[in-house]
Amino acid sequence: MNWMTIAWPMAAAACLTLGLIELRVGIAQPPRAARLLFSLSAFAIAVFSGMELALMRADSVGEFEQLLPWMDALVGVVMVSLTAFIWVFFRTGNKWLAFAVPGLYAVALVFDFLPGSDMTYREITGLKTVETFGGATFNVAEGVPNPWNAFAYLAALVLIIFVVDASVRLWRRGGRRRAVVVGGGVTLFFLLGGVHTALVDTGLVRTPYLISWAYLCVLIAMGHELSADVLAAAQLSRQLQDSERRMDLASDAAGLGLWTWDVVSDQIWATSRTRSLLGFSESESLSLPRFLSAVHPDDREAVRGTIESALNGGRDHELEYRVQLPDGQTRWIAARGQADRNDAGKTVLMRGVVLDISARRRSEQELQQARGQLAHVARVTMLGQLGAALAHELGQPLGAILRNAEAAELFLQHEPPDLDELRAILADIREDDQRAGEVIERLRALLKRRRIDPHALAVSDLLANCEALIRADAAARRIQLEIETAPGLPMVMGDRVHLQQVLLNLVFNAMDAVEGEPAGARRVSVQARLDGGRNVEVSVSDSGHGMTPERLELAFEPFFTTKANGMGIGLPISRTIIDAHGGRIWAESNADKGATFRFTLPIAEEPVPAEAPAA
Amino acid sequence: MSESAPVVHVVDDDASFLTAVSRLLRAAGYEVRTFSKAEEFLAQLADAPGCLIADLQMPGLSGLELQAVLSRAGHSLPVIFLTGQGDIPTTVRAMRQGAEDFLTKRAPKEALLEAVDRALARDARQRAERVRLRELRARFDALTPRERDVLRQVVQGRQNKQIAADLNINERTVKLHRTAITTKLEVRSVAELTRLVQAAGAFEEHLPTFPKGQ
Repeated sequence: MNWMTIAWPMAAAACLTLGLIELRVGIAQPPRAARLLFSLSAFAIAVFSGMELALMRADSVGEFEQLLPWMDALVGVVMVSLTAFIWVFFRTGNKWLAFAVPGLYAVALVFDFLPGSDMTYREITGLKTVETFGGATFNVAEGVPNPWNAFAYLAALVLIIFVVDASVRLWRRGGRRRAVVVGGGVTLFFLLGGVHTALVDTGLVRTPYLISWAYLCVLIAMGHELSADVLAAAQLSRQLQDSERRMDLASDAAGLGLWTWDVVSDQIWATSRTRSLLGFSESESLSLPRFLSAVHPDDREAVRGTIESALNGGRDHELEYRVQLPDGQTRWIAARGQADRNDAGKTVLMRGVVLDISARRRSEQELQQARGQLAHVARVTMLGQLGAALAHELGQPLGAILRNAEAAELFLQHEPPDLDELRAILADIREDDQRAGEVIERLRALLKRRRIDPHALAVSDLLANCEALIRADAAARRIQLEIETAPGLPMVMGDRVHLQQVLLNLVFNAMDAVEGEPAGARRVSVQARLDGGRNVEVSVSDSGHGMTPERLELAFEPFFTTKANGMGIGLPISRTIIDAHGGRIWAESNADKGATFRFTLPIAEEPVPAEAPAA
Repeated sequence: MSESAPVVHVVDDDASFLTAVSRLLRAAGYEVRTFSKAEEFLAQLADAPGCLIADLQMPGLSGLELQAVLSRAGHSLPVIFLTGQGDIPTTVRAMRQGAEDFLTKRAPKEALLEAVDRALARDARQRAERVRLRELRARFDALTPRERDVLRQVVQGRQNKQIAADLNINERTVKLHRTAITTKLEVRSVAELTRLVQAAGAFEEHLPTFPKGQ
């Protein structure tokens, strides 16, 4: 019994432990190959360590000869697994050097399994008991060295060169720490172990073999880096948890609900906020059909369409839809999603967020209504101001005429009447009448704003502009607006601003006309088509209560109106404008319901330049 | 005061309307003077009976501004406004500033003439009132300071004895003062005296040295 019988099994146990740890980890997580190779060398060294102890306590040459070949084989296993480890762990290295290691070693190993010799000794002549520190004794063999053993040393040398070379490559690629710790550690301890073994073999040093100890150190250097990966992974997972918590906090604060849809198994995972936003209970399992059943029936098709197009190609999608909550209420949801595809390009997963936008929707609607009201107020105010100006301008001459007439009546009662005064009065009355006429003429000129500036323009542009201006108003008043332009319409000659005014006037009239109809039956349709070969005809139809033939006649007369606060000047002005364009404007009753106003515009002559470049 | 006939002043920037209105008023028997600008009217303004008809909208001083200038200067000339169209805010402002009337330019003749009559009547009334007040003050001014002291106590309903004690004079002297007061103010009873003092409304102004708490 001496310290060696304790120390060697301890080394074996350490190797075994390290091997088992990496084996366990290697089964679960990468780098798998590196971990398994590490375990292999660790187990080999553990066994080797046990055999080394047995060797040192062997009493006969026969025992020695029995153990040596297996130990040499284990060293071979260690060398090969070490080479492979460096190869996969560093992901670099010289292939030829790597293959040379087992090749060279195999040459030497052959002697272990030839009868009558082994790798180290050609022949073992005897045993010798050696005393080392601590008074411990052990046995070594004495015999004739085998010159082929040089191949084993050569293999070790090549291995060291391979490791150094791989370390230098790794260093250059930036993996400096790993190159120094693993590469440096392996090289150093392997070198020390090899040199020491050579010294023991040649009998220059009288100590036990320390191969298992040197290898233990090599293992520790390798394991250090491997476990660094495990530590990094643990840290990463902590960071991931942190960032998940932050994400939860942020999405909660923003009122965002998160969801993931596994397309293949049709399962939807959703945060509790998502569930409460969409009206699902905490526990029910969710799928696409269940989700669609919660969507408002009017929006269901649109949602289905968006999902399908996201599945077949679209990467990101965005949509807004309503959901019907279990309590019967409706909620507006904005959703945003992203598709994950597999290597075959098939969508396997979609994930995204949902947000309650009911409040935003409501205020948008209110805004639209307010905008419509504002436009109406602006029109009424403009006409009101016009009325006030008219009253003031006409009030003066009319007032003067009245006062003069009244004065004349009084003068006529005088006896005798002052005829000179009466003549003067009549002259003044005539003058004031003319003044009043001039006021009206000026106003007419103002309303007409006669200058028409015709250019070639596309009726479709005209209609599109008009639509942009009234779309919101129409939506707010729940009027269905249809705008249709026949394809391939030629350009017309016209003044964009004036024609816009005519079109808007007609459309606003039509919208006013359908106001009294139920929400589903308020329709205004604007169409443009070719009328014969020379004109384009634009029509504005409504589904309102229509007009009697007399009213149709009167519609274009100034100051004729059917509206409570109308001025009766929109259509007369429109007629003036269309007349000035060389077109025609008229109204007719629809066969079924409502009225249609039509106007024509002459087609532009072919070589007329387009509107923009005024050369 | 002179017995001159009241004058209707008309201010309007519209010459033909100005002529027509003045014609009507003259035919109805009024003395009329016309001005095409508010500033012209102010330049010749004198304290004579009459009223003012002004257009609300004029270049330069507007009708309302003219009215404001008049009332700041202490002229109580009644003002009738004429306007092309009457809007509520201006009407309210004009009436609050004491406009006699507010008419559109095409209001019926009767409305205009009635408004002028009313305005002139009010002017006459105000003038008579002013004359009476002036006369009354002249009578008060004739009182000696001691008589004023006695008067103040009398209208407070105090006895001769109390007054004598307060003013530290003989009761007989108080009686003499009272006789002088009734003579100068031409009143017969204490009740009439009190009414007169109230009508003059200038007690504090004329008797500023009221000895408090004596």
